Amino acid sequence: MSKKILIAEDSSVIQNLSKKILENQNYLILSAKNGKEVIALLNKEPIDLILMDINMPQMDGMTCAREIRKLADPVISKVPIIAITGNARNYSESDFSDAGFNDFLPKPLDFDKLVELVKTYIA
Amino acid sequence: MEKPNNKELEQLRKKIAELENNLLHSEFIHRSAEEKLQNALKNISLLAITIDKEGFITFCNNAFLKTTNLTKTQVLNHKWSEILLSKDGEDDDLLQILNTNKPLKINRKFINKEGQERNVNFNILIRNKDEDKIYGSTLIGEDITERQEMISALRESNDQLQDLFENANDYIIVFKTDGEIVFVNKAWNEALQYDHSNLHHQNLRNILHPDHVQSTFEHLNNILKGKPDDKFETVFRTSTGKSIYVIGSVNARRERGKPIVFRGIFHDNTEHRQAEQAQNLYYKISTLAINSNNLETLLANIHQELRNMIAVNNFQVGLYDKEENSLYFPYYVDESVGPDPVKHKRKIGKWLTEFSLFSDKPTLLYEEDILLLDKEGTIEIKGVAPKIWLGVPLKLENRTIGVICVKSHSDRNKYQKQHLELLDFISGQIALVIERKRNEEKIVEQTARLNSIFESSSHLIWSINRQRGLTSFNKNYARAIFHKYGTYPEIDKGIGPPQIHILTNESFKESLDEKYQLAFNGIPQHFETIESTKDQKEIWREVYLNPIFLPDGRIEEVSGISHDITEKKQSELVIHESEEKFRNIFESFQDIYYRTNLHGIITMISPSGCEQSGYSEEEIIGKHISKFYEFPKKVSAMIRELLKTHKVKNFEANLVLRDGTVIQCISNMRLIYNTRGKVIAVDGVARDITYLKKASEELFNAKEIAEKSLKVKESFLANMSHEIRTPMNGIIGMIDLLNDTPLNQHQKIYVQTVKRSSETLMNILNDILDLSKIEAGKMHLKLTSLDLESVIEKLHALFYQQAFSKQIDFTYIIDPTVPKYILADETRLLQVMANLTSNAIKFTEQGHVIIKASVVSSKKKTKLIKIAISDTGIGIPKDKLSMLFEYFSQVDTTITKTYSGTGLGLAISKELTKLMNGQIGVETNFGKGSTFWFTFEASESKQATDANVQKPVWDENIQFDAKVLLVDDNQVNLFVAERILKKSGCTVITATNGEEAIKQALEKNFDLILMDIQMPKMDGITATKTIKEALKKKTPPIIAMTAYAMKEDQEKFLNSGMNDYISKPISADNLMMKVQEWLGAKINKPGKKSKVLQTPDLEIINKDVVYNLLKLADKESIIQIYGDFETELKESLKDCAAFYPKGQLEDIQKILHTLKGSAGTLGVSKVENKVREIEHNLKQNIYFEVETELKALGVCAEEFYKSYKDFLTKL
Repeated sequence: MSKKILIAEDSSVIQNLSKKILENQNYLILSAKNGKEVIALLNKEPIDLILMDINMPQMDGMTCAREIRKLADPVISKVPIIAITGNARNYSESDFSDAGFNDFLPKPLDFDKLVELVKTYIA
Repeated sequence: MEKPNNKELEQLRKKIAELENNLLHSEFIHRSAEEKLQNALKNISLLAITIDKEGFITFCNNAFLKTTNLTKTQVLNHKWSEILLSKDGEDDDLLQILNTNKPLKINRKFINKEGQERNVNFNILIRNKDEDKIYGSTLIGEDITERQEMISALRESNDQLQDLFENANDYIIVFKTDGEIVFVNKAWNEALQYDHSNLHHQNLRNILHPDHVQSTFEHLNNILKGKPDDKFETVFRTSTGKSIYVIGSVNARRERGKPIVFRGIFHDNTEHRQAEQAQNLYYKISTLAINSNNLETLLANIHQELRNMIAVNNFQVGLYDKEENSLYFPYYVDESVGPDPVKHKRKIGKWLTEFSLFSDKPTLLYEEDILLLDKEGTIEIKGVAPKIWLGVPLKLENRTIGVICVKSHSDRNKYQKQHLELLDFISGQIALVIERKRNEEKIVEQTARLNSIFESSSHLIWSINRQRGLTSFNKNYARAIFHKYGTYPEIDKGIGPPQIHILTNESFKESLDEKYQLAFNGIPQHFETIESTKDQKEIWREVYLNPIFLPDGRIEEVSGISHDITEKKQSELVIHESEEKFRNIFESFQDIYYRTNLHGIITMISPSGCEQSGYSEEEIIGKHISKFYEFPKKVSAMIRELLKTHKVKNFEANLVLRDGTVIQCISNMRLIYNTRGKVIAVDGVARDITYLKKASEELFNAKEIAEKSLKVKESFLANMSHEIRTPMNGIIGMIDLLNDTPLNQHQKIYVQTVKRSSETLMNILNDILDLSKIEAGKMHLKLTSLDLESVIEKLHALFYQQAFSKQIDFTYIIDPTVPKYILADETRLLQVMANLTSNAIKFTEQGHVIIKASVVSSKKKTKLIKIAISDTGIGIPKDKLSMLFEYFSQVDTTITKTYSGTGLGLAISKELTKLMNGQIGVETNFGKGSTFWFTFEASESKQATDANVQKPVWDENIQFDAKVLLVDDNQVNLFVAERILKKSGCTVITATNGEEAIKQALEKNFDLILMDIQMPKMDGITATKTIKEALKKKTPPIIAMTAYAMKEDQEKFLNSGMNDYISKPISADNLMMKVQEWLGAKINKPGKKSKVLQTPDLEIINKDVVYNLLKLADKESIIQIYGDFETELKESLKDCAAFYPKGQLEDIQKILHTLKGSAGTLGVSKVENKVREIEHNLKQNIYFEVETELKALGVCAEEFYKSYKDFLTKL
C-alpha cells in the first residue's frame, strides 16, 4: 500500500508541484494550508510523513511540530516531519530538532533531494 | 275440592271412553236414557250438567253444586251462560254444542262465593235427543283451576329453571360418554370464548387443558364405575388458549342402567387459583429477593417466574442515573431483539420506558393510549407500539431509581390490573435488594475506611479488657511490640492470664496500670511515656486512654492510642538549645539589636546596645526609639516606610550617644509576625559604620581614580587607533590608486614595498588593538557556520606563495572525523592559524610545514578540534619554552633582528584560544623542528552560512549608476574614496563636515551616503540623525566610515540610525563591497568576468531547474504548476500594491517570503532575485525604494507571464 504524505504549505504552487512529483513516486498526498489543518488531519487518518513549511498562517511550522510531538497518541506523535523553509539561515539545525523536526530542506526546493530524503524516511 | 284420584279418573275415563264409543255408534241418547245417565252422573266427582236447547240448565250433579257452592234452585232453570261464564265474553258455544256432532272441549268459568274465578273444562258432551230433535246436551267436566295453576306454576318454574340454566354463572355442560358435547350453557360458552355452534359436537378433550385431559377422564371413569361424585378440579382452555380453572361435580344420567350422558356443573375457580398462584409468586419473589445478592440473577429469576406464571416474554429493568441522565438496564429482554437478557445503557430519551419512569406511578397502557402519547409528542415510538404496556417505577426511599417494564406485542388481553400490582410488588422487592446491596456496600466501605484509618495512621491503636488482655490492635502496635519483645502480640482469648506487654520502661508499669484503672473508671487519660530501646535510643510517646462506653453505660474495654513524639521532643530540646545559642549570640552581639512594639517603644536591647550608647538597659527600655537618633523625623519616616514595605534595609541614620557623640549607623529593620501572620513587633539591628564609612569613602575615591585612568587608557587606545588609522587610510588608499597609474618596473617594486610595509604596520596596529581588546575583556567571538576545510584552504592560499618561494613543502591534512561544518569565529580562527603558520614558515629554511586538523574529543555536538602546525625549522630551546607565549617575547632577542615581528602573535593566539575554550602549546626538538598546536571548541553545524548573496565579492568590473554623498573632514581620505567610487561609475558629491552633509543630502537625491564619524563642527552621528528626521523614509542608506574599530562603537553607529559601517583604513575592496551590498539594484554595467557573483543577466526561467523537474513529473503537470505560479505571482503583486500605501510592510515581507520560495523552487530566477532584493531591503528597514522595486518586480513578472508557456512547450 502506498505511504501517505501530508504536505503543509501555504503556497499552492509548491503544494501542487510537490504533490505531483511525490505522486509520481507512488506516494499518496494530502494537503494542508496551515498548522491547524495538519493537526486536524493527523487526528483523522494515519499519515506516514509530513513535509512542513515553516512560514504558514494561523499556526506556523515550528509551533505545529511542537504540538504534534505533544500529542497523546504515541503513533501519531512520532510521525516523521521534514521542515521546508525559505529562511534556513535564520535557524540553526538545533532549532529544527528542538521543535521536533526530523530533518529540513531549504527553499528553493531541490526536488531530487526532497525525493531522496522522503525515501530515507518512508521507502 | 276433592281431587279425583287416579284410580277414579282412570275408571271414569274408561266409562267415558265407553260412552264415547257408544256415541259413535248412536250419537244420541233418548229421553229414557237421560234419566239413567243423570243417575250415573249424580254422584261422581266430575261436574256434570244438562242444558236444554235454550240454554237452561235442567240437571246438575252434586259435585257441580258443591263446586259452585250453589243450591239446586239457584242452578236449575237458570241459563247456563249466567252461571258458567264464557271465557272471552262471547257466548256462541251453545249453537256449537247443539249443532255439532263432534266431541267438543268447552272452557267456562264461574265466580265462586269468595269471588274467585274458577275454570271449568267440559270435555264430554252428550246430546240429548228426542225424536230426532236435539233438545239439550249433557256436559261433563271438571274444575281445572288448580290444575291450570299448577301447570302454569310448573311452566313458570320450568322457564325459571331454563333461565337459571342459561343465566347461571356456573358452567353447565352435558356431554356424551365419549366426550361429545351436547350442551353448554351461555356462561360456559362465553367463558370458553366459542360460538355456540362451534362448541356443539366438539369433544371435551379439545376444550380441556392438555395437561388435565387424562386426569379428567380418569375421574369420569370412576363416576361410571359408581364412585361417589366428589367435587373435582380441572382446567379448561379457551379458544384463545387461556386457562380456566374450574371446580364442580359431574354425574351421569343412565337409561336402563346404562350411562348416556354426563352432566357437569362447575364454577370458575380461575381467580382463586390465580390469586393462589400470585401469592405463590409473591412468596417466591420475596424468597428470591431475600436470598439474592446479585441483582442480575435476581432479575433473571423473577423473569423466569413471571414467564411461568403469566408468560411474560418482555421484561426490562432500567436503573436511572440522574447525574448522567441515563438509564442502565441490568436486565433487558425484548423478544423482538432476542430471548437472552442484554445489559446496556443509554441516554434518557422519549421512550415509553422513560414515560413510565417519570410518571412516578404504575402505568398500564394499551396500544391506543401509546399511539396517543406518541401523537401528543410525550413519547416517541421507535418501531411498533406494543399492544399492551405495563410500567412500574422502582422506588427507594421515595426516590425513583428506575423502572420495570413488561409489554406484549401480540395480545392486548394478556395482562390485567392485578399484574400491575404484581409488578409494583416486584419493584418493591427489587428496590429492597438494591437498597440492601447499597447498604452492604456502605458497610463494606465504612469498614474498609475504618480499617484503613485503624491501620494506616502512624498511631498505635489498641484496646484492652478489664483483665488487661488485648482485644484489638493495629499493625503499628504489633510492630512496636515486636520491636521491643521480639514477638507479636495476640488477642486475649480469655484462656489463662493475659499476655501483658507494655511499651514503657518497666519503672512506669505501675503508674500505667493506675491510668488504665482510671480509664476503666470512666476518666479519659492523656500522658507521655518514654521507652528506652535496645539500641539506646529513647522513644517518646503521647498516649490517650479512653473508656469504651457500651450502650448501657458499662465499660468493659479501654481503647489506647499513642504516637511517637520523639522528634517533637527532640526539636523542643533543639529549640531550647537554640534559644540558649541565641542568647549567647545576643549577649555577645557587636551590633546593637533592639526590639520595639508597634508604637516604636523599645522592649528589648542587646547588651552591646548599652555598651555602645553608654545608656543603661533601664534608660533605654520603654523609651521611644526616635529619642536615640540624631534626626527623629527621619526615624519616624523610616518606621512608616517599614509598615508599608515590611522591611527596611541599610537605612543610614546617626545615633546620639549618652556623651553626645554622634555615630554613623546603618540599620536594618523588619516586622515580626506571630504564628498567625499578625504583626506583633519590630526588630532592628544597628551597626556603627563610622569607620567603615570613612574607609569606603577612601575606597570610592581610589576607585574613581582607577576608573578614570582606565578610561583614559581605553580612550587613548581608541584614539591612537583612530589617529594611526586615519593616516594609514591615506597611505593605503593612495598606494592603491598609485598602483593603478602607469608605473615603470622600479616604481612598481617601490609601490609594492610601500604597500607591504604599510600592511605590516596595519598588522602591528591590529595586534595591539586586539591585545587591548582582550585585556579589556572586550574581545567577543562572532560565531558563524563555516567549512573548516575551506578556511584551511584559505590559509593555505595565503601562505602558499611564501612557502613556495622558500622551497618548503606546505600541505594540510584534515582528519575525516572533523565535521565538515562547524560553528566558529572564522576571523579569529584564521588569525591564530595564520600566526602559527607564518611563524612556522618564517623559521623553516628547508623541509616542510604541515597543517593537521583532528578531533580530540567530542561531547554531543560540541567538538574539541586540534590544529597542529609542524615544521622542520630551527626548533626552540627548552628553557625558552615558558616565555614563548608571553607578551613581546621572542626566543632570541638577537634573532629578532633576523626574524621580524612584534612578538605579540603567540600571546594573542594564546588569548584567542582561551576565548575559544581551547589551549595552545608547542612540542619542539631544538634544531629539528617544532609542532605548534592549539585546540578550540566548536559545535557541529549543518551547513556553512550561505555567503552567496549576503557577502558578494567585489568585482571591479561592475559599474554603478548611483549618486553618492561622501562626507569626510580628511582631504586625503576624501580624495581616495572619491577616486574609488568614481572609478566604479558613481557620481560623487563630497562634504567635509556634518552641516555641509545635511545641506547636500536635503538638496539632492542620493542613493547612498558615506559618512565619517569624527568631524569638526558636527559629527557624523548627529548629521545622520538630522538627515533621517528630515527625509524620513526617503533617507538613502547611510554607511559610517570609521576608525573606531571597537565593536561597541560599531553598535553605537547602528543604533544611531546608520545602516552599516566600514572600518578605516578604507581599501577599494572593502569600500566597494559595501557599496555593492547597498546599491545592488543600481548596477549599471555588470562585470564580465565575475567569479562568485551570480550571473547578473539572469534567465527568466532557469532551464536546469525545469529539466530537473521534468525528471520527476510530466510536462503537462509542470506547465500547470507554472500556471499556478502565474496566478500566485499576480495575486501577490496585487496584495503588495494594496499593502504598500497602507504601510503594511510586514505583510508585504511575508508575501515576498512565500513568493521567494515558490519562484526559487520553480527556477523563475529573475523574479526570485528581485523578490529577494526587496525582501532583503525590507528586512534591513530600507523602505525608500520599495515602491520602485515592486514596479521592477512587476516588469520581471510580465516578462515571465509572456514567455513561460512558449519556453516550457519548446523544451
